[in-house]
Amino acid sequence: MPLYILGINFVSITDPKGGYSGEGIGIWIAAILTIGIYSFLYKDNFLYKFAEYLFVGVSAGYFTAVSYHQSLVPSLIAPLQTLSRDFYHIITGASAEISDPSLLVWQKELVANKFGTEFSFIAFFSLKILFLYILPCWIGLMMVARVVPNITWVSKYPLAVIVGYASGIVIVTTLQASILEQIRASFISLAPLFSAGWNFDTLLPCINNIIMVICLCCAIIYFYFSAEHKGIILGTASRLGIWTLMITFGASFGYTIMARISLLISRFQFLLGDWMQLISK
Amino acid sequence: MINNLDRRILFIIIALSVILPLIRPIGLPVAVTPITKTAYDVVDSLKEGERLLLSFDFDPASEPELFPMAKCVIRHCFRKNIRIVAIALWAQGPMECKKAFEEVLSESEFSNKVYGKDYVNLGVRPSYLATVKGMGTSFANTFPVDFSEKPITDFEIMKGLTNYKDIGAVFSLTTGSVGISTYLALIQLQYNVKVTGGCTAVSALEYYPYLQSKQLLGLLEGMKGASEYEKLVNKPGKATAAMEPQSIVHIVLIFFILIANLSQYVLKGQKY
Repeated sequence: MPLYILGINFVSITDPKGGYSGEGIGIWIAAILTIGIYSFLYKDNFLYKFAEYLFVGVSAGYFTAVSYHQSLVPSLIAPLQTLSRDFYHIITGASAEISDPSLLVWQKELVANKFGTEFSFIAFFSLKILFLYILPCWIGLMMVARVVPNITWVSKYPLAVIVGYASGIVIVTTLQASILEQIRASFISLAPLFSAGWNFDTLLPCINNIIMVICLCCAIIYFYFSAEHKGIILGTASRLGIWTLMITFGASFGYTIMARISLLISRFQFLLGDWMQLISK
Repeated sequence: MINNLDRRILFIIIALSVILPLIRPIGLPVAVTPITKTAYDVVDSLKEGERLLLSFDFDPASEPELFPMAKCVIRHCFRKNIRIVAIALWAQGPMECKKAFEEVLSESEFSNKVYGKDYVNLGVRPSYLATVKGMGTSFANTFPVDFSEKPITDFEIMKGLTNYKDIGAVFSLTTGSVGISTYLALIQLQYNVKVTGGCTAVSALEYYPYLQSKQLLGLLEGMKGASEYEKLVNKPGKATAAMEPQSIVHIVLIFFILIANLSQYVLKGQKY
């Protein structure tokens, strides 16, 4: 009763028809687990450990299920099923519809009963299955060798494929997007100041750009280790470089606090809104 | 005394700083920053019928910051009749996408929107690099089926969609390293696609160089960015409600930092 006086009205686990409400039960479980996680702030306890392990287990299970349905099924299982059905129709000379257009020509030739076509078709089909599905699948399975101590080295080969493939895709484009474009963006012009005159609208961006270029150069000088950071040029520049980095770290710290507090607020919105129904959802 | 303060007292003060403004809001204003407005303008500049590639590159851990953004972008697109092709580069992304569409469609304003015609959830594919590059060649080859494993050829929205040239802009909702930076590195220059997005506050700083070089057109930064977008689409939601506790907790934290530094300064003076 005192809770009702405070305006707290915990969500019900039953629905108006007298049965159990899935949403209500879910909210109660989520609320208890949330409190379990936050109970660690007082001290380590069983509820916290239970919630933590449950989170890890559910995440892993979900990831496995999604990987199966979104990766294995469309990329391997479904195509193999379709291809084996096509293979059966072609080899038995059936005029059934073929889903893979590249096999249509074989169906026509086999229906026409051309000499040697069956052997050629089986060879073509086997190679296609081998290179497009069996070999990639085998390379993927080699990753699992990581969990068997004696053959851990086998997993290096699929890793090599992944590293090589990813490097090939990323190196050139990243070089352009993250280095060349960034260098280009640091080449700034003071022309607007002279062409448009010394007014407030042109002066401020120009000052901003000058500060940006000076700070950029000083930060780079700070990471130049082939000479001691002493003297008017290197000493002053590297000191300014440190200040630039410190300001960046400060901004980063501020953003991190904002992110973490956002997570806390969201949990309280859930507890006070969805669970206690004290505030609007 | 401050030196020996039980940290649990600080936790209680922080908790109260969150709870009280949530229960009794005082109505602090939300100001829209230029980078949020730029991101909004990218979506707003798309014509009716154009497609927006909305990439759900986050998991439930980043939901407080990125989910309100997703709902705002969907509302914005639906109001302007911009078609949404939703994909994910994170395994948990498609479920977040499904949930966001369900919540927006439950509003009477958008009850006429049809799956497959106005929006589609294509799900996730293995290897984000292959996915992002693959869409540059063919959407149909990269996503032969949608998240519910239905062939994409069944959907009206996919007709005429070959690659990025048929996309008006890319809007990535990013946590971690996969998302905005992937699109910027792999496709922005190569296909000359407009890229914008939103990210968790913790990773906002790393995108500033791209904003300055205009490779990234606008950015929604964490919950603040989400609340600003809510204001722009005139639909205050959870992010707007969260900004008051956010501000008050920041004031409390600044106070704590000042007190802690002052106490250290005084204690050091006593010691030496």
